[in-house]
Amino acid sequence: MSQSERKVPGHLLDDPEVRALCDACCDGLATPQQRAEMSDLISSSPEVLDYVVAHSFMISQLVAISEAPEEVGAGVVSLESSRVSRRLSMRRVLAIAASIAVAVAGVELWRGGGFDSPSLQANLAVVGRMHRVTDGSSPPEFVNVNERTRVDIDEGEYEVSLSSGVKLTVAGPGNFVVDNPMYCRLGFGRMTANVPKGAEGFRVHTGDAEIVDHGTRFGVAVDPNGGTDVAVFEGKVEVLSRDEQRKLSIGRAVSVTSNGAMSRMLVVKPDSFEVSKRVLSSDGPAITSVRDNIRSSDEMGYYRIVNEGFGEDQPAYVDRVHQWNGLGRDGLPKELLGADYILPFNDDKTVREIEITVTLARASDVYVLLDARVNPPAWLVDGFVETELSVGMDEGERPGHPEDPRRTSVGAGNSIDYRFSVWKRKLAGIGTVTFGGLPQIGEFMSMYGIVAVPLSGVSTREIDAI
Amino acid sequence: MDHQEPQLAQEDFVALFTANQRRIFGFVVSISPSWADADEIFQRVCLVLWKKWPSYEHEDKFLAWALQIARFEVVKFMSQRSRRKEIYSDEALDSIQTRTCEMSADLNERMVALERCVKKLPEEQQDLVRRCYSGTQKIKEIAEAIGINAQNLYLKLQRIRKVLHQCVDKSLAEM
Repeated sequence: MSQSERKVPGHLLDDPEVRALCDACCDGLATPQQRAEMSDLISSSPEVLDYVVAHSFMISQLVAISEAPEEVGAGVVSLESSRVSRRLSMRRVLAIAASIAVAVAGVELWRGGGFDSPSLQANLAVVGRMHRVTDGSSPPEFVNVNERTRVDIDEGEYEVSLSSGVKLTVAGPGNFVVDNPMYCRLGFGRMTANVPKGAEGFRVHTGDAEIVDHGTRFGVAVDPNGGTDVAVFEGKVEVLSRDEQRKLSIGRAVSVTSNGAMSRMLVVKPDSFEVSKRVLSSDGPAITSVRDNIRSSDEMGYYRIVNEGFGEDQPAYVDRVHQWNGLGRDGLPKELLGADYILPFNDDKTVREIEITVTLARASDVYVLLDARVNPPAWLVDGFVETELSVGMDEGERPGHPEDPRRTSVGAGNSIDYRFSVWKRKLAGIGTVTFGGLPQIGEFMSMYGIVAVPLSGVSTREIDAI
Repeated sequence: MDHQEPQLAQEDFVALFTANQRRIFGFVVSISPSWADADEIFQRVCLVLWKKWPSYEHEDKFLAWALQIARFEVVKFMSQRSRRKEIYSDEALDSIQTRTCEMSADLNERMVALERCVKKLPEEQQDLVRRCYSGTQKIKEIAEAIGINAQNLYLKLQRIRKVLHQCVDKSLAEM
């Protein structure tokens, strides 16, 4: 590491003598005098203290990850010390702790887990609980989730709460295995993971990729025929495949092929990673796809299409937590409620040459929600007309900037930060519509929103691209 | 009679222990006379934590509570064997205990980066790491098997650790 690089807490010490002293202590080779000398250094130097903590932690992790892997699905975790290993593995220690809990708690595991052999599962640690997501008309029925046990879901959606604090939703059909509360494998199907503070490092493994969390909410979908999609909704994750390694932050998504290649996942829909909660009309969606001319494949940014979902407190951008809301207590304009809409990138507000192309499968009125601080660009004035309608933007903290004082609140008219004017396309119709960039007025502006309201009467007239 | 409350408390222990076990083990390694000794001490610590769980106050932070017990067990283990001088002074133990709690989030990031850095090592070094830290053989036995003395094997391991430490630092600096 060059001297110009940022030094992180616990960084490698420059002084080789102190490093050698620390090594001697860690390896059990230090004399009492050397140990005393190291004690003095730890007490007097914060830099040495951090190094000792970080280096010792690293050694402990080398011990943990060097343990011989136990075959998944092998069944019983023996509570006796291994003949091979001279120590009790971390997994076995955990199994002991869990088994103590089980022994005291009674036969809950036998009843709840739905397994064939009580003797088998009595030796498997409980790593969480799960229940089917219902419409609320009946109370949820919880079952335990045991470590290293495959769970098959035929249909529906299940919420899984792991003992690490991680919450998963898994949509059927699919299957998954929780190896431990910080590691699970998705065989196929769709999953979202909500990883709270303290559980950073949680990993999801698929046949194509491994996703390492850095404190976040993300979605994973595994195609039974091969291929994994990963999208980040909050925070950031790291995706590793056989050939590539990428860090993804909020608003980014990748598709990983079976041979390890990664490419941009352009569009995320409500059912891409979970069961869509909304019952859509039988006429089908108005907005079916979106693409742009700007984002390089390196950026991995995705657009989110929400069909029939525009409403109060709905997210406005893929890379922010801002929400759409009515300006006052009357709420959002009735004309727009329940419409299809797109979550674009707020950071694209500064990309003047952007062209976003939206495909409409149903004849629709198309609206642009324009930040009132921005002068309307020529493409908007030419193709759209400003209505008398307005909507509000409730802004939240910028991701990764907890010092940002902005917070969203719930309901129309609450904590509105900025007004957006509503522009309606002059010609309604079906086909593709292209939207341009915004004039530069600096950072203090937001990207426009795009909303499509299907027409009740059938129209098949093609819309010309702007 | 409420049957659920005690069960919930036991589940709480498993949840908190699971979430913190790597940090606790890391702390035990940092204050033990060697990482090899830390294995045995950690097993004791786990069982003592479970035994003392009923005395845990829910307003306490679990990690701080667990580290206090772990520290006590390490000192007790070594004192009973007249090996107290082989571990750090009380003042240094205080500092390490406090700092381990404070660096909890950093250590998580380090854990994630380390696994990646290990995979970047040449295959031969990865094998050596696995062999030496898996606990299946003593260092002396491994050294004999590969035709070097134990001192030189320790030096090899220390060099690998230095590379890994640099790699982890670099990963974190780039985030």
